[in-house]
Amino acid sequence: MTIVVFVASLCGAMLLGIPVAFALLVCGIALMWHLDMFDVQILAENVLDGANNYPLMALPFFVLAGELMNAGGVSKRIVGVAIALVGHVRGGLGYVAVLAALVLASISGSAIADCAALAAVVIPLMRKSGYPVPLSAGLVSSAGIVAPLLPPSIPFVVFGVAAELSVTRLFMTGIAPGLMMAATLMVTWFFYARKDDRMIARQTFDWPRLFRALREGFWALLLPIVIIGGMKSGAFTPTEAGVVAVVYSLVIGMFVYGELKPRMVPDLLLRAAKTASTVMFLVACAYVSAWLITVANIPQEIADVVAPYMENKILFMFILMVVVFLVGTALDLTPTILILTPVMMPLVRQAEIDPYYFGVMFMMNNAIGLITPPVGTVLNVVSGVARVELDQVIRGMLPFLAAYTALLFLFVLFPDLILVPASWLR
Amino acid sequence: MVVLVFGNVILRYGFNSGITMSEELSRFLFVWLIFLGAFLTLRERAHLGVNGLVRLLPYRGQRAVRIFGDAASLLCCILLGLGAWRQVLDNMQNHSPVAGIPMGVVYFSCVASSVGMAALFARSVLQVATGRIPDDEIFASHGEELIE
Amino acid sequence: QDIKAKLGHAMPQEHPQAQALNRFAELAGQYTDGRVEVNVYHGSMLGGDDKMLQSTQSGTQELFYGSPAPLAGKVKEVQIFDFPFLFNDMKEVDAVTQGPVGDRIFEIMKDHHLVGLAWGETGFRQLSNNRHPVETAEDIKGLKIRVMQNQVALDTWQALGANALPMSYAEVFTALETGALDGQENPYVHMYANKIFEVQDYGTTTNHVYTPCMLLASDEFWAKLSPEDQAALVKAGKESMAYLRELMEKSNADVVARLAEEGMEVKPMPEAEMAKLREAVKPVIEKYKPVVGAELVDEVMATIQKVRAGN
Ligand code: NA
Ligand code: NA
Repeated sequence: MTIVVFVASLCGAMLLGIPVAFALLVCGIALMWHLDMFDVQILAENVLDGANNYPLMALPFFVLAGELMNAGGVSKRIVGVAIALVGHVRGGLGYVAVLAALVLASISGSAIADCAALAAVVIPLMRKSGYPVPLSAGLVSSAGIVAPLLPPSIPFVVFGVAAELSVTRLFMTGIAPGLMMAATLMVTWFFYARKDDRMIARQTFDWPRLFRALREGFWALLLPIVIIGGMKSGAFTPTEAGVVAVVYSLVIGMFVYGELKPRMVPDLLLRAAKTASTVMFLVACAYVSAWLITVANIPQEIADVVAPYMENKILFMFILMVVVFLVGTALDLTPTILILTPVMMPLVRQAEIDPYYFGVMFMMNNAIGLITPPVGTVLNVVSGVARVELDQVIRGMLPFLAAYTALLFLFVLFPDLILVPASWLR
Repeated sequence: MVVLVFGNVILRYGFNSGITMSEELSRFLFVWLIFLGAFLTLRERAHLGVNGLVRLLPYRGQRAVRIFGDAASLLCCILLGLGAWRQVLDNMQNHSPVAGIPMGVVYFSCVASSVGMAALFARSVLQVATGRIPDDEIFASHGEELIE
Repeated sequence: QDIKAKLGHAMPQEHPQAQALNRFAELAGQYTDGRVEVNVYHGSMLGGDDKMLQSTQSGTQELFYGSPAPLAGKVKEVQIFDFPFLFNDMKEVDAVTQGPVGDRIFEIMKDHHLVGLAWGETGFRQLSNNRHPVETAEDIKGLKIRVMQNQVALDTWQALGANALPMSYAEVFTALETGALDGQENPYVHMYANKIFEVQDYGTTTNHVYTPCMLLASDEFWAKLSPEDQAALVKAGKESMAYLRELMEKSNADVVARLAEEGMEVKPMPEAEMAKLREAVKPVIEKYKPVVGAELVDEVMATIQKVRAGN
């Protein structure tokens, strides 16, 4: 019953055109009413708790870095190199987006920050080149969520702690499926690009251009190296990496490329602050409904229903994945991990499913949850940062969601696809 | 707000050079940024939402739905503001561990923003009800205007 | 009619603390003949310690178990437990928390909408790092160590020559893994339950701080209970905390061996070096004595001296 109140109030409010953040508050109020614990402090405490959140602070910096890279010509030159590399291919900017997502994923541990950076840098270019905007935004959303699978990954740390598993081993197990996710996106994109003449190749490959692009893009290409090197050597944390990216792109844009003028900076700051705060306000509001879902024991209710199906490992894994998928539509990554892990891990161990295999599947499914409506933070981030309407992002994301779901199903049927590469890396 | 963000960048950068209170200070500035930003975004009606379905309704229907939705959001803001005000009162004597800032000052951002957003929703209800907003702007898409 | 209560705490399900709180929930139901139903939420499911304490004060969460540290901004007195090298063993701790001082702190809590049911523990805090084995006071110098977010801890580690960084616990694991931090300090049982051994090579037994925990109720919830049920919950609280003591003793007995199994090298700090550390932090204790309240500090010191004289 509680789950019905939750889904109905949230979906109802959103369909009535109430902005998502306020729809989450409406849903919270409905749940409090239903659970007979109405108290305005539940709203305030959880919203404030969600806002007063250190890991989230990486987000505005990546938004700002994206804006600065754009305005200062940094991202233009990075993508210039990528275009010189794969621009002669039909739909090349799509492959550029996926490759950039992979690079970013191995720099940062947060899908949201990665998507913000990608959306700010790549989507405007795809738009300018005449690519279909919804499909492009959908691709970028789907590419960004590879981040939790590739190390470093904050969600894997949260899960490893909650599930009592080795985080290092989770990292190693996640690499292969993360790369396969990226490959899946490229294949899906290939089929769309083949049919769509808006994505026709507008150039042929030539060495002098690649060399010129590399020389022009030298300072720009140095940025990922500075960030990866800085993080690997322990000089800074992901949030600090965001600040370094901001300062670096400011300096490069202003003094090396000279495209960024001091008078442009206040406007860029304002825009980045607004974009970031919209998304962060949404996350803060989501804390209210997440807290009430936890209090109402909704995940436990779901788990009780699936308990009898444990005999067949593949069938049971399939059921678990369906449950995670459903919960993921309505909840964000971290709350889903925190709520479902204690419920599911005992079941997984009981059914004798490899916990690392489950962990990676769980993470991939949760990452997919970031792009499934009604609550898909990455969709909101991409929509907000790239200024594409949410419905359009959702529409453009569907083919990639379908591809991911197929991949997930393949992993359910053949666990060795994950376990064998993991054994090579151990 | 520009100052807040920029101050933040500098503070975060200072973190590496050993200013230990910068994590706390910058986090508090972020809380203010989030709530100020939520208000400013609402002023431009640029919060994220799904408008596709309601736009299929006839204009009179859209007007009714928008009034209903804004009234519901207005109620949310009032309740959130009330709760946040209680948090402020509870936490004026609660000083943050490192910088010693009263947490009530941090939480006041939510009160200020809720009051401001409630006023915006109230104004919006009035404007839509009295017909001062043209039909085709009831559920206008504000995302697209920002595209250059 | 039945009263439902949410009990939140920060440790994962496998931590002894979680088992003891499950026992509390069981006993609470039993002793109140089912009139009070306690649901335990493990692993920060209801929020971090700060959030849970705030919720308990405003009555949206009925019960909280954890360290009173986040209250330090409101209740100066609890900072006494941040003082370095205050206690030597559990006997001294018990004399303070289970005696008049413990009662007095519970009394102060009442002004902040909190009712103290029982004192619990997380244990003595130890140092870990992945730079080099710490065998002398000198070895601590220059290590980048995450400390709790309070002024006493910060000053203590700075006095010991460490590069002390107050950081929220959420970021610690990643920071240790990437090397943004060299070390952290927590009880060994906590390090084991939170997989710290995966990112730390060396443990040093310093017993530098003892962190007590409290089982607290919101006064709004408390007022709804009959006096008999209140007494029943206090009884359940005391018994489950005694059970926790048993579990912690068992865990403490083999946690060093289990950490060693996971590849963490654990060594005690030699007594001569401990004396150097105690000397180095004396100014910190002097500085914070008036902040916490000189009278309370003296009372605690006197209580501890009495135990030491008795030995
Ligand atoms: Na990553
Ligand atoms: Na979702």
